[in-house]
Amino acid sequence: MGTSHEDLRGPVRHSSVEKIQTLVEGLDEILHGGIPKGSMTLFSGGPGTGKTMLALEVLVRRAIDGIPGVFVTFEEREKDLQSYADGFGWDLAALKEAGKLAIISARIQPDSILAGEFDLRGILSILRAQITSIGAQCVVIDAPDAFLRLLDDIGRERAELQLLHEWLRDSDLTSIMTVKSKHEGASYLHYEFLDYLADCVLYLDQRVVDQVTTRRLRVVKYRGSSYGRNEYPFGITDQGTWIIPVTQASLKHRALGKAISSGVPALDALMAGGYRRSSCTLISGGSGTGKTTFAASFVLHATEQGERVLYLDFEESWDALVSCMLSPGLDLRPALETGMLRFVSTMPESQGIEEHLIQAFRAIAEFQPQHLIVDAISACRRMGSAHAAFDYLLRLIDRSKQLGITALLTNLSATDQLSQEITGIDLSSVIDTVILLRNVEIAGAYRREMAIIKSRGRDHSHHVHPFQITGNGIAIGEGRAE
Amino acid sequence: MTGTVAESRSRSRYVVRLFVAGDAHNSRIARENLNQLRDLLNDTELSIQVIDVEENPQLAIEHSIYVTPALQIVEPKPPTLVYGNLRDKETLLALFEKSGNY
Repeated sequence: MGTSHEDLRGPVRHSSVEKIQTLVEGLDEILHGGIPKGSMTLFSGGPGTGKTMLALEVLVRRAIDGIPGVFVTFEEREKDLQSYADGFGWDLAALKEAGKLAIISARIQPDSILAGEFDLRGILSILRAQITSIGAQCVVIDAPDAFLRLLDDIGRERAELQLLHEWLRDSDLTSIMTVKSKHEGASYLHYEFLDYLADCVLYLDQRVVDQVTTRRLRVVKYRGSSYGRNEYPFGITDQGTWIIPVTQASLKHRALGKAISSGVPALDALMAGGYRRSSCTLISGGSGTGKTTFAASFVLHATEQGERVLYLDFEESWDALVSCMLSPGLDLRPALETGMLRFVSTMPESQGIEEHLIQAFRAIAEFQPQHLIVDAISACRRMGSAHAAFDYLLRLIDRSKQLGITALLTNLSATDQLSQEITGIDLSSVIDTVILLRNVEIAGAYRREMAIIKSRGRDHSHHVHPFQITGNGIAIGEGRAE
Repeated sequence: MTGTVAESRSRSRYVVRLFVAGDAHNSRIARENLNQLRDLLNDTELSIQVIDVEENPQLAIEHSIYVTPALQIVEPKPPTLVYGNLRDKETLLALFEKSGNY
């Protein structure tokens, strides 16, 4: 699973090799700094796993940072690379113009004729010229297997690859080579020896589990350096690759901060002042128990204090939500107008969890909220499976805690019982406060009740309290022991 | 020097460009094979330009030739690209003959 506990315990980072950064979101974290400088790194994977794009992204990101690189592909046409790059908003032409990137498409033209043996000597001369011309330190060799396969001689193929590897080493270049690996019966086994030649080897794959496709990446070896040893899911967005690893940096949370009002004064009184900053609070209850009203009370109060709130909404459209909250007197429109409140509304099943996570992380990075609402986490199951939901929420809460963001989650529970059953998604280790809501039928009328069943490290009411949703927010009554 | 051997010959029936990489085995063999091929054809009919990509990588880039050795058959038309050390002379002769006969 994507969140093994090995990393959570925090393995020792060590490295005796000099590295260069890939600048790909999350990748340097897994590689404990980057790829080995002056050595060959192998990106290996089946067709369509994203090897070529990831390698191109490394060069593009470095080029944008002003560090020149050369991309040689034996498989793709330059215009195809260009159109992939356009999809990510990378302007290859401008980078080439600026002398930060050179692309050589050494693809064998399909209408050409083979008459005898050939070799890599020519391409190496041309490569050398390009490297010298732009002062490149890093070079990508994409799919040399596509080219060498034409030799139809495994021994010669190996010899040429070995020659290439030696040439790269002797040139003191940092290189990334992409190569196809064994995939569903098709055998590329004769390229396995490349795993031994390379100092760093990454495997990429993509799998479908519960009808959700997830791309994954794993470091198989890294000579002379420690590295993240898990399989890391990653997403490809309109801005390139995002890897959100759960690594040793995780769970180094800030201590819970001071209380901030929940927006319901009577609730603050029951829990020593309100929600604590950097904490995670879960409000759980059946349908129509007032979960979103509690969340909206908090949003209104926080935004009125000039604090930013990011609202991840999986239930209904945000404008429907805003208009629903007018009836209990919670007008969120001014907060939207002043930009203190931002909604991200998505259907859970619209994308995989990595994409959901990336969307949330990007919104957090751009908006820098003090508070985060997730409404409702029960909908996250629709991202694929209970495990997918767990993975998503754990990593999201983890990031919030690292950034000192107050997280407020709502959950639609299946039962109206005030029980320990919280979510079915066991997040109890990261949740600091749990508030349960229910509707109880008494003498033919429904009565709203709430109880705080957990509030980590703080005193709180242990009673069940009746409450009402009035035209002026939530009003909580005197409690009784249940 | 780019090794222009016989480009000046005007109105040759066959015009080819051979891209080689220095003294690499296959490049050396390709040169020899091309010379033998010229002997098989009427000497005046084949115009050969040899481009050494080690000396002149820019020319190779301009012609989008990255794999060596490679032979561009410029005339007769249509232009054809042949990769390899030209060991397979029958194929080459067929290429010349076939397109030269129209």
